This record gives sequence, structure tokens and C-alpha cells, in this order.
Amino acid sequence: MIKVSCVSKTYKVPKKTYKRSLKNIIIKPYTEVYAVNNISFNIEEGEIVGFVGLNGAGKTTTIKMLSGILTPTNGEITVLGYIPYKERREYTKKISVLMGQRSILFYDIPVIESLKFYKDVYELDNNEFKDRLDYLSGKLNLSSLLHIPVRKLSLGQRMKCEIVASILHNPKVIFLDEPTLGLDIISKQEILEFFRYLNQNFKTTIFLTTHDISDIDRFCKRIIIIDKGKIIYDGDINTIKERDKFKIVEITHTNSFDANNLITCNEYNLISKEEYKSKIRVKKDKLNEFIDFVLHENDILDININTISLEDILNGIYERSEHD
Amino acid sequence: MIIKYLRIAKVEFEKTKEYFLNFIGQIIYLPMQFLLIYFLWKFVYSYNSQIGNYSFNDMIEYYLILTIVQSAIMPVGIITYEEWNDINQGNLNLYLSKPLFYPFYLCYRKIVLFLWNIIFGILFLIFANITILPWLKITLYIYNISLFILSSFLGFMIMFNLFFIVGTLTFWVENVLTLRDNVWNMIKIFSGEILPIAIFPSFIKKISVILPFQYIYYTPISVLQGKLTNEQLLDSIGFQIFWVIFMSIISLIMWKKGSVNYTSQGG
Repeated sequence: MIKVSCVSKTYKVPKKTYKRSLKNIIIKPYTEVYAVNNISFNIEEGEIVGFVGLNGAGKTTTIKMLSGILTPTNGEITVLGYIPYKERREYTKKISVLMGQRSILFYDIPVIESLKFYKDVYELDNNEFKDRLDYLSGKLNLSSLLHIPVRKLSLGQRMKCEIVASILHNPKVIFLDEPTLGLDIISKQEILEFFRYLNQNFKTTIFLTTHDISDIDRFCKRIIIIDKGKIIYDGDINTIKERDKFKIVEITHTNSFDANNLITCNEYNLISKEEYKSKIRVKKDKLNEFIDFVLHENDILDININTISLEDILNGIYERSEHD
Repeated sequence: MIIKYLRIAKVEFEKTKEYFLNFIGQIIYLPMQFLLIYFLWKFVYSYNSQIGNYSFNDMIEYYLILTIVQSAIMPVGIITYEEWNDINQGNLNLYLSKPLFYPFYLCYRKIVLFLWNIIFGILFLIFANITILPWLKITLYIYNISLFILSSFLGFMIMFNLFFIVGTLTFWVENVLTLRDNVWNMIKIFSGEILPIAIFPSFIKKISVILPFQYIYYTPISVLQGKLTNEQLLDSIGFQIFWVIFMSIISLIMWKKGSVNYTSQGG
């Protein structure tokens, strides 16, 4: 469904230092930097894929190339059999792009007028539009918002309306670029649940980029990690988390206690150490033994046992990538 | 396909409804603007009875029609800024990821304002002609009003393409607003926006013949003032059509090349 093969995208960046000459004054010299460097992956129909990376890693550039906004410098992209940047008019009728920080609604007028505009943009007939609108507004509970000007909506309400406008045409693939940016926990939950519902009931393929690792953790089975324009991991989210193999033991202790004393074998790793708190990664089959050992320490005040968070894992991966 | 662009008219109309006070402001804009011009030229003509081949009545007529054409064409002046802003801020992403053709989208939004203002302007002209200013004697037949609307529309398209081409340069040059300001000044001098071209020195008249600017304002005004012979009328509209086609081709080629160059800044 989505095939990305050896794709790169370069940007021109002005050179910081260059020889002063008339030619260089007229045409400023520049160097080319890779935003995305030789990436490849395939996504099947009905998959939900989380695309994760730090700021400037190449996430948004990739999503823009996939949605036909940008033309790759090298490599090939096909989505639903289309080459996005070449067959934009037909292709964009089959997909949807939702960007959390940009609005596709007309700010000054009631929501329904924007929706009618997108009905015509996506060439839906009146019955199709009415059915789709009834269904989506019922599902997202926004019937009462349709006649309110967009500028009077809260961010959460506006986001739901943006979603309806974006998927009126029942797209096969949805690209979500930071869709939960700035939303509260309830709105975020509602919106992600709605996309999960679309995925489960209509086999809609979803490609999600976000800074919020918890979104990815709850929502995606597969994760692709990009760093400095290169893919450094592509696979099952549980594999990367090694969720079944390790636990994180968070210990609250007295000021004088040295957590290094607990690291008595290779199966225990000290992850972080603060004045009163330390985090230790423990192999799951050694957990009982470790807890038994810890309980005999008088300076230990409290113990919490957690599953490894995706955030910790990603930090580790980025650090390793930095050293490589 | 055309329906989606017609829907833009409805959206623009809804915006007008939302800001009704602003709309009332627009309605009183024309008479206010005209009143200022009237007093200015009344003062100038107190020392001369004729400037070039323009009598006081001709001049007032000229500026009355200019005010109407300006109100219809002027909204296009913001095109360069909108395009520059959309490209630099990355708002273009929203249009490129939808089955919309951005140049058409921009153009239709302004066509709506053109039609709205030219129709209102003609109604104002008819009203003024039969009530407060009957001495102007502008002949208003369906024939010359239709030609005036056609010529104004072609002027609108020339101006749209001019500013669109400058805006499209944003794909290659980051700041085009200074260039836009220079184009504004060229338009002011050579389009008849400040003074009728007929009263300029002959070298400016010669230059303006080979430039597209006089076809923006001067030609539509001359059409309605009846200052053109049938032959001149055909020539002028022919040149307008030539410039519209020529500049539209340039616009579309530049857009096609430029949108491949698009780097989508701002996340």
C-alpha cells in the first residue's frame, strides 16, 4: 500500500562562510543538507504505524513527501499505486493529511460552511455528504458545534471538526502529523480512539508522527524511529520495549544510601541516580531475588515496580545513535 | 470540477455576513472616495478649463469610473503577500494535500470580490448618473456596460497574473515584497491609476503601449467613457486578451517549476 524505496530529500542551506566576490553577492553560495537520507519501508493496508524522531529528525519531511507536498530528491514513493507528487490531483482524493498545528477550516464562518466547501472539493454528492456528516458528527459528538464560527471553538472542539473535514471523503490512508498537539488528556484520548475505530472498522491505514510518546505507545503496534534523516529502527513496538524481559524498579531511599551497592550482578543496571531516588533496570526472572535483597536494606523507604516506558527506550536508542 | 471553486463564492459571502459592519463600511467607501476626488479636481480646474483633452467633467467621470474599477481590481494587490506568506509559513501544505489547484483557488477568491464590487459599482454609477450627477452624461447601455465589465475583468486578470508571478518567485527568492512594491509603483504610473495616460508626456505614452499596465485601468475606463473608436476598442481588448493569455502561461509554468522547488518551511 505504501512503498518507500531509497528516498532522500535535501535542502539548500546558505553557507556560513564564503569568499566575498560579485558572483557570491548575487547568488549566495549554499550547501545541501540531508533532511531524509536513503530511507526505505513498506506499510500494508490496515496498519497503524508510529513515526518517531526528535525535532529535525526528518519526520515531517517524510510525511510531506508521502502526502505529495514535497518532491523527493532521490528514490521512489508509491502510495495506493500513485506517485504522490506526480499524480497529486487524483491521489489527494484518496488520502487525508491532518496537521495538528494547521487549520483547514475557515476561521470566520460556521463550521458547516467549511464542511460544505470540502464536500465540493472532494466531489461528494448531497446524499453521500449528509450520510457521512451524520455518521461522523454522531461519532465525535459535534452536531451542536456545526453552526458555530470556528474562531469560537475550543482547541479540542476545533480539532474534532478538522478531523471531520479531513475524512469526509472516507480516505484509505490517513497521515497524522502531531494531531494531538496542545490537546488535553480527554480530547487526546477521544481523538486517538476515534482513529483506532476507523482503523478497525474500515481497515484505514494510519501513519502517525508525534512528539508524545504515550500516543505511540497506546495507539501503534509498529514503530519506525528516524534520527538525523536515517531510519534506526523499524519493527514491533513490544520488541523494542523488551517489555517482557525487563522491569524498572524505582527506589526511594535516604540521602546517605548509595544505589551502586545494589548492583551486584550483570542483570541489574542503574539507570538513574538522584539524592533520594534511584532507578534500576532488572531482568524479569531476577526480580524476586532483587526485591528480596532490597527489602533487607534499612535505608530503603519505598519501592515501585514499573514496565519500561517507551520514552526510556527511545532515549537509550538516541544516545546509542549519538555515540555511533 | 468548477463547483468547488464556485463554493468559494459562498464562503466569501458568508464571511461578509459575519462581519456586517465591515460590509456597510465598504458600501459607503465609494461615495466617500469619490467626494475626495471631486473636491481635489474642483480646486485644480479652478485655474484651467482643460487639461490635455480632458475637461473638468471628463476628469470627474474618469475618476468616478476609476474608483469603481479600482474597488473591483484592487483586492488582487494582496495576492503576492498571500502567496509569499503561504509559501514561507508552510500554509501551502494545506492546499497541496487536497484536490485543489492553488492558483485557481486564489484567483476564484478574488473573482468573487471583483464581481461583487463591479456590480455594486455599476449600480452606484447608474444611481449617480440619474440623481446627483446628471451632468456627467455617461452613456450607460447594456452594450457598453457589458464591454466595460469584460474589459475590467481582463484588466483584473492581468493584475492578478502580475502579482501572482511576483508571489511565485518566493519559491526561489525568499523576500519578494520589495519587488512587489516596485510593481505597484509601475502600475501607478503606467496604468492610468494616478492620471489618465492621455495627458502624460509622449515618451510615457510610447512606453505604456508596450507594457501591460495601461490595460489594467486605463482601457476599461476609456471603454466606458466612449473615448475609443471601434477600431481602437477592438485593438485594446485584443491586447488585453493577449496579455492575459501570455501572462497566464508564464504564471502556470512558474507555478509548476516552483512547486517542485517547494521546501515547506515551518514544520
